Formats: sequence, structure tokens, C-alpha cells
Amino acid sequence: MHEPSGAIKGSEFDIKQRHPFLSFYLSAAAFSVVIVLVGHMHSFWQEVARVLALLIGAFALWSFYKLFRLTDERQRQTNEQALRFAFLATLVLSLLVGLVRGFDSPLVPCGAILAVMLIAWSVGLILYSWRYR
Amino acid sequence: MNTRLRILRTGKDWSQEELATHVGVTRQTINAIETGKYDPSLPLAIKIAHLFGMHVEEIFLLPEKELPRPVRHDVLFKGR
Repeated sequence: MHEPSGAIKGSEFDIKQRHPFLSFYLSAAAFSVVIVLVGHMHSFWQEVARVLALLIGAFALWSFYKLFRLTDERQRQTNEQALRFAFLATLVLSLLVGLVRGFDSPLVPCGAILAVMLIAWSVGLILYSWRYR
Repeated sequence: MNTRLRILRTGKDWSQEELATHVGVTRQTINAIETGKYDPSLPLAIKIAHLFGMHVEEIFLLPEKELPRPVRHDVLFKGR
């Protein structure tokens, strides 16, 4: 049974990875949103949102761990490079924001930093996996 | 790195997906190895070689110019 080398189709591996991948993305995005919302809430609802953020964050970490466990060596390498890219991009961006605002501006919410990291990680994944296509 | 993996795989009438399943990686990784875009780790190279009943260097080859000059045995163990 032959298959053209360039053909892209969903493999067993792809199907297994799809669920934790989606779970991670959605939960990480939800975590960022809830963390930002916590700052705008008061009293009882703030505590509820904090607990919710904690639960969603734990689920996001678990999904990422599950995703990482399901990757093969090439994907793991791509993932590590993308993470490195995300950390560096977030660091540079944070420094730039700090410099532009003159260090005395209100703090950027950590939810926003997480969102930036998530976006940078996604960009890194696209960039580094492009090499192997 | 040059590889004979595609020739060997098609010789066995296997799809990339089948080979990938045998060695526990994704189809995309097999494709990247076959097109020379990704060099497999040593454990993966050994697994692939074992599957075809061959030695690693019979499947994965470095171009001659990238290989170091062999060191003579008497130079290597000088002073022992």
C-alpha cells in the first residue's frame, strides 16, 4: 500500500493529539480571560473567579503535559523551540512595554502576559514545524 | 544526512503511516526523515535499522566530506 510522500492526512497520532491540543488551547485562553476578569471583580465573585482560574489553570497544565506525552521526538523538539521562542518574545515585549511606559505605568495584568505567551508559542510552533514540511 | 529509507520502505510495500506506527512516531516525522529535513535521534535510527534488519550506517549516510579522517589505531592509543 503506497502513499504519495507529500500527502497530508490525519494519522492515528494526529487524532490522539487533537483532543489534548484543543483542551490546552481553550483552557489556557479561558485562564487568561478569567485572570484578567479577577482584577475587575469585587468581594465574593472575585474569590469565585480565583478558584475558577486555579481549576482552569490546573486543567491547562494537565492538558499540556498530556499533549507533550503524546508527541514524538521531532514534535517534542519543535515544541521546545517554540517554548524558547515564546519566552524570549514575551521577555522582549515586556521590556519594550516597560521602556515605552517609563517604568511607572500600571502593571500589565498577568493574564495578558499569558495570552502573549500563548500567541508567541503558537507562532513558534508554526515557524519551527514549517521547516519539516 | 542522506538516507535510503524511502527505497527500503517502498521495497517492503509499506506506507509512511505503517512505518511510523512500527517505530512509534508520526507519519510527518517519517516524511521529514525521508526528505532529509530531519535527522532522527540515535534510538530512532536504531529502531528503524532493526526493523529492516540492517545496520544504522546502511540506511543513514553522511556525505563523505562531512566525515572526519579516520585516526590510525597507533595514534589513537599513543602513550598507553
